[in-house]
Amino acid sequence: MHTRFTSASAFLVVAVLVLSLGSGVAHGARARHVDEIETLPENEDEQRLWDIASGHENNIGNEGRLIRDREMEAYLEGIAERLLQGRLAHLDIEIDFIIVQNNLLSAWVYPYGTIAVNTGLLAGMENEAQLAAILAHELSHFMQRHSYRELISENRQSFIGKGLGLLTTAAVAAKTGVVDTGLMKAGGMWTDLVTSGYSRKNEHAADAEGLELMAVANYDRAQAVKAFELLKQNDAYGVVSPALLWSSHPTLDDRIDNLEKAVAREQRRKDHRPGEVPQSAAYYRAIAPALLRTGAQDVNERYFERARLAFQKYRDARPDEAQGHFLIGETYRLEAPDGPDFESRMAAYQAAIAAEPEFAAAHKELGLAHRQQGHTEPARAALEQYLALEPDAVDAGIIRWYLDGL
Amino acid sequence: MGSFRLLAVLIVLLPVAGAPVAADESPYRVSKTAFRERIGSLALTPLYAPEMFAVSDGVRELIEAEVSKRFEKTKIEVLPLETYARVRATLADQIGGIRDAGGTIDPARRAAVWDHAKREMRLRHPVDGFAELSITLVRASFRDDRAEWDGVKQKVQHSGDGFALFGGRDYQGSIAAASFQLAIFDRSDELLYLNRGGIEVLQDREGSRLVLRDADGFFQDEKRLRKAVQLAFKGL
Repeated sequence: MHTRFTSASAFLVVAVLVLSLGSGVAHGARARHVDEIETLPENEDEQRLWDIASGHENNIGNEGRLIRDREMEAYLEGIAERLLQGRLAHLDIEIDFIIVQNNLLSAWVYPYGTIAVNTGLLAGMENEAQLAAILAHELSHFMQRHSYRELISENRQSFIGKGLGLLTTAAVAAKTGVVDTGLMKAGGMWTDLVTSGYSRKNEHAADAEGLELMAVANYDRAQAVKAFELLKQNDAYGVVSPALLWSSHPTLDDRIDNLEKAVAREQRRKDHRPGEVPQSAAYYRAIAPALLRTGAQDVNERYFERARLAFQKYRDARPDEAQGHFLIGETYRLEAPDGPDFESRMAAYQAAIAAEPEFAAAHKELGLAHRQQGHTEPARAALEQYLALEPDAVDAGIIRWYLDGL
Repeated sequence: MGSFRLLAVLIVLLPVAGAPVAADESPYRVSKTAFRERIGSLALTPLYAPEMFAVSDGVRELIEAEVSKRFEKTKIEVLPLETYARVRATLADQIGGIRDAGGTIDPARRAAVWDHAKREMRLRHPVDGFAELSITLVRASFRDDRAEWDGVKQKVQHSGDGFALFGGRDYQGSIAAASFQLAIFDRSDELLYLNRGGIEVLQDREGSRLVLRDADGFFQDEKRLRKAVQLAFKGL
């Protein structure tokens, strides 16, 4: 049930929260790099900032958008450890990851060090070094405490205003007992808060330190340029809010340009080490569940080309599995059920059968594709094979009826 | 079906129910010109309504007849919904129907029949697309016990206010309601047109609580049903 009651007391709560956060800002304070401090959060203001962010993170879970996959999380943690090389050991902080079901190529960091990574970002990168570049950038935002730095900067009023939008909604919701997901818009609000809240200076600072982290971890820094270029893919797909997009940052092209220059400078150094570019197939294997989810979501949203790309990556990661081949075939079928291109889908179904001869769904779709084209005998052979493998399939009676009519 | 079970279903479904169509939102998902170019003929699907709505045959026939009448006023050639219904029935017969032994609809069987029916319709009938008719659950906004959604307004029945009635308490929020939905897809299932017309509110207010009405009392007002169909066709 979804009911909301306005009342003077709810507004009072909101007003108190507005005043408490607004008045508590430490004017003139400096947000030091985590290397220079011993505890986090450093003060009550920063704690409040963490609370706001935590509310946002919780809301993503409440909305059912969290992908809980321990293997993928561990993989991401491993990349973070490689980038950090124990650099946070002096703080009681662990870098955690949450994986969010969203096809936008995006990631963001909460001020307490949890990094949110969209499935779309995982699927959109082409190797581990590219993903490491994005994670290194987010880790740098965290280490330089950019959320808090923005809070106490000259632009703090704007930032506080954004934060209070979230806090106010949460407060009203808490008071009335109503979770209004329409109002919370959590994913967008925090992303807006952190991404559009970061100044150009802070973005460049995160880019620079991100490259340093990549160098220490022995990742090829040129992959950072490629990673940021891949983020431009967002432009080609449905966009909810400009603030959600990395590419909406007015400086994305500038940043790519800056990164290119920084990498080129580095490559000219005599002691330059190129760094590692891990194999794509290994990367795709590590994030395979994200590829399936991204592909499925893209099919639902009719982004068939991108869905196909995700499934092709999955197939490349696991060529011996029928699933990847079959799903590629399904993208062709669903995109153009009447053809005229039947060859692409049939080739994919045949590849699925070659990988796993007992993969019944591929036999069925192959048979139906033949039937659609009037290829009686191949249709019969494939559909009979389907029934042999799945005699109790829910549609077995329908398939038998088709066979009778061939 | 008892209202308790219906309430349980609604609680589950409400978070995912569609938002009402905004008054100023175009029902076209492509330009109207492109729609006209792509859709010259349609196959109608039989009206779908979740079982929890307990839609009677009479209501179903009234809505389907109203839809057919409305389509006659458009330039779109329409394959009668009986055609689609026959295909579904034939396919359902091949698997012993879509209900289980207890008489409950089996989602897997229904999905199989619907999927194959769409394939058969594509194979046998060269229509440009499909018009899917349904009654859907939506969230209507309400304030001062008046709900407004999908082009209609309705007073929310209420009781149990006691002294609060004189306190000027301002109840507002969202309330469960039903709408008639017309969705038009091309042959590859790309959505081209989506519009809704509000039918009626499904909950009453008892003090500060919203309580589901008895399903037996749903959809009794023919005028509201016809109006809902008319609204869903607005712009077509």
